[in-house]
Amino acid sequence: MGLVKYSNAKKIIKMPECFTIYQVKDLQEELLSFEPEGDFIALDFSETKEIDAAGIQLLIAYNQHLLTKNHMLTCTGFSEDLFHLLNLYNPPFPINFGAA
Amino acid sequence: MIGPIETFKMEANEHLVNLEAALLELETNPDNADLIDTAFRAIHTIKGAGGMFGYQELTNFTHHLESVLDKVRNNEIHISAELIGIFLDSGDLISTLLDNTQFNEDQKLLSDALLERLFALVPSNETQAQNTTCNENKKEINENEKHFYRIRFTPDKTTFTTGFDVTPILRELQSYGDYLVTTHISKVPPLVEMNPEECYLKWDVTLVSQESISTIEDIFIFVQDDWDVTVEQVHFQDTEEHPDRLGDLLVSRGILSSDDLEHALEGKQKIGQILSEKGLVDNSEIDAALNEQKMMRQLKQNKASDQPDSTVKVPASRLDKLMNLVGELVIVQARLNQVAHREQIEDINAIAEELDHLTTQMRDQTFSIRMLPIGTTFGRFRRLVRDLSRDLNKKIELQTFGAETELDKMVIDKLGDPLVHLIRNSIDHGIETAAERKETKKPAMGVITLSAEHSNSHVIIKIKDDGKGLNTQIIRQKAIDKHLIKPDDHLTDEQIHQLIFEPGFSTAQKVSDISGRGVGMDVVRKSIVELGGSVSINSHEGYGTEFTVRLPMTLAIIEGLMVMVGDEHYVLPLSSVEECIEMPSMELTQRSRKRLVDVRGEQIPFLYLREWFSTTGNPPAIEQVVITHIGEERFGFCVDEVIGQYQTVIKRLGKLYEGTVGFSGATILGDGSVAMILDPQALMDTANNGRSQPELRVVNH
Amino acid sequence: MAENAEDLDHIEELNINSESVQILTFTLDDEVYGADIVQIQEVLEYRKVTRVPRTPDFLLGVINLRGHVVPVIDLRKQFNMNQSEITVNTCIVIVDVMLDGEKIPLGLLADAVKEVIELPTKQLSPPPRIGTRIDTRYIRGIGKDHDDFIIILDLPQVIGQESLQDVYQAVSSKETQSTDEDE
Repeated sequence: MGLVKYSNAKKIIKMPECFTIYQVKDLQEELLSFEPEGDFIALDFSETKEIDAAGIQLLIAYNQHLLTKNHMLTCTGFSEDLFHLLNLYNPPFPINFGAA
Repeated sequence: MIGPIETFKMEANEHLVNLEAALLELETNPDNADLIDTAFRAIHTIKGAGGMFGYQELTNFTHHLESVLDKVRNNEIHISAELIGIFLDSGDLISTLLDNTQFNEDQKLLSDALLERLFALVPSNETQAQNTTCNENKKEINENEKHFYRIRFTPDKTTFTTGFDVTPILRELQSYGDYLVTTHISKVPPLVEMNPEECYLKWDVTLVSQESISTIEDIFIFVQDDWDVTVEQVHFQDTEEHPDRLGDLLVSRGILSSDDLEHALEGKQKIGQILSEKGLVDNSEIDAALNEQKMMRQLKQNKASDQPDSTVKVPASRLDKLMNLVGELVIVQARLNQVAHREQIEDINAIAEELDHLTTQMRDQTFSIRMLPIGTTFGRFRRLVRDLSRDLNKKIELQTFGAETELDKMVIDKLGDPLVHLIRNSIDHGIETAAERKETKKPAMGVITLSAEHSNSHVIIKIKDDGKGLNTQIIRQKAIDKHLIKPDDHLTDEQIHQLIFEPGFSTAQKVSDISGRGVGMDVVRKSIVELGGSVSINSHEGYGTEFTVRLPMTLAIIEGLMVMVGDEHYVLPLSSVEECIEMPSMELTQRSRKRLVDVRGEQIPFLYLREWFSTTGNPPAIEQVVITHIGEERFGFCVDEVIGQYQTVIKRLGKLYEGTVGFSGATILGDGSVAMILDPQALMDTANNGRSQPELRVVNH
Repeated sequence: MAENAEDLDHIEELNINSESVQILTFTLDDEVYGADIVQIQEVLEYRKVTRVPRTPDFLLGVINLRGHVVPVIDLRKQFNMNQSEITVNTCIVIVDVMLDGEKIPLGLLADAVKEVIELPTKQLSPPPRIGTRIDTRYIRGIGKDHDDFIIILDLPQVIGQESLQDVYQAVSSKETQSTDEDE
């Protein structure tokens, strides 16, 4: 198992502690290898402590990727700090904090 | 201009005075519920407003005081001399706490000691609120010197690999003022093809800040050689008549050529839509421009609202005196006009006319001094929404419209508290948490819309949220529990919604920092009614709630239409008068209450004032119907005679006549006698209620 | 009995306060009434009172007092006396009352104002239990000037909180009444 841990519910994918330039290459592969089932795909960031512009760019690309397949991306579980950080970018997908 | 913090301090001090007065009264009169209420409200308001302005420790302190007063209110504990002593000392302490958002050492010791005394008397059943230190930038912002910046930057492709992150830059920009960002994603390749270590993004930031352009440029000092960075300051004055039209913005941003714009504008759809449909402009570019448009409008609104009070500060009492004098002047003028008209001396006529002209100007000028754009209060609400939504883990955006709508200063001053309560209500009870919103497929970001507009001589203020709406069942049950209604009462949803304005009614399940102690809606209604206004609610479960507050534009002078019924004069607000027609005599043979008059084919209901007022004596041969428009509706008033236009100085009817319905006040006529000012809306409502089934009487006189 | 005792208290209060009391006397339906002048602001000639429609009869209406709108009460109606025409002697006595903690001026309609007299407080007697036309709770005491009896009104009682409360009720019941009629 790589960086991404799958939870029991197939639709929620747990994201790793770090989501930065150092991980994006691996993460890209992980995300691509994941075949979503339902319409909604939730990435769970509750264990994530660090995210940077490269990570956000990857999320944006993943969102675009899912949109082409008619899936919806939601990012949840952000800590309050990360939530504010993401809001700095006003990303084109919904972000939530608290439990997924 | 008085900043919001100053306003808070002033208001807090007023509340402290009220608190002290109530406490002192309570010493001799310990069971007076009104006094306890006054004390509670004072503390409650200081707590709430304090929280909003970052007085975290003050909020914690007052929270305990409030809890104790709440118990007193619910008769769980009784007021004692010791308790009053503690509260008086607390009041003194609070007045020293207003100067700093943080306690100093002495204040800390004092507040701890007071709380210790308090808990010794009344054990707290809450776990001690932790002293969250929230060290935000609480810089005083000089609103008058805000600049509007347009910042665009495209980082170098290798930015990420060279160890740069964009977050610190965005964070810094955000800290400089009002910040709106668009992350442009059009250059991001498909996930499969992209090299995630390369940077494909670029950013557009719209910033309203008091910082100089060089400060903004300095943010990029380390990357300016490699990145494509432009920082522009936008001056509205330089731009054309409609500088904030989207198309023009796109052109001025160099995204679109004027020719393309002209071309696109030939259709009449929304410009953003057309442009993106035609593929002329990338969607995210339009978003960015839309952001800018939004900020620009906001800033302009703020500028507009800042201007009138940026020059001289005059005590309100002087303004009131001036207004009274002008009122007297207007009355004397009316007398002079009468005399001049009667005597027909040419010289006097000329003087009267000239003086009349001056008086009117003077009245209008004085009047306009008192008129302030309602936007002056909006800043306060933005802060409220921002801080409270953060506290409650909700994402809420406040959109404001009509900040330039002018209202009498006195009305604006007294409107602050009720509006805060309404907005709090929307934040606290209306908008759901992001998670709840997700379940109902709503956007995570809740929206509260605050709008103001003129309608006749009134101002309509609406507070609307897209939250969960009122739960009719819960309200109904609660009203039954509180014996406000009987279980078998048949009420429409609308009538049930109105119940939340009943004293003591509150649907909050738990004690929160925001509202939910039952102080609120009844107080809101009371304060608005005291201003001669009204408040109504419109809610759809699942879709949100809208409060509509209707207020008179001024408490001072209106243009009126003078009419006669019997031998009494009455004044109707001219702004609501549409036309006057002769009453066809046949209508009178109809003796039923429901009267309709035919105006060019339209049947308009009217009130026969002679009968309504129980006027004695015979009606004249020809009676007149004054047709007014009240909101969407048209409604007539049948009078003996229409005298004509009259500058009406509004006088309060006073306490004794407070419960009387149908009059918004009285005015003094040229001959010194008094005429009643009719309130068309109230008269229409009362007349209508008389006809239809009895409405639930929520108003307690 | 209780009422009487209460009225005696008033007299005692008076005795403690001063040796004598200044009374403004006026007539209502041919009887002489008086009121302590400390409660009285001024006396106005009768002027047209503007009726506020749909309010109880004894609330005569409002007048303009130097730019303020002041309500006027018709004591004859309040005391259920015969009604009379307005004459040249008719006056409006302006008094100050406390209402809801707010001091407001209020006018009382009197048939005629006579004079201000000074009465030694010991000459005041408590209101008789019978024989007066008006409710004894409105009476502070009976004074005597030469051979005339003067019924000294207890203004705070007449226009005080309690009776104004009745006014409120009257106003609102009138409203409901008229609404009912409409149905």
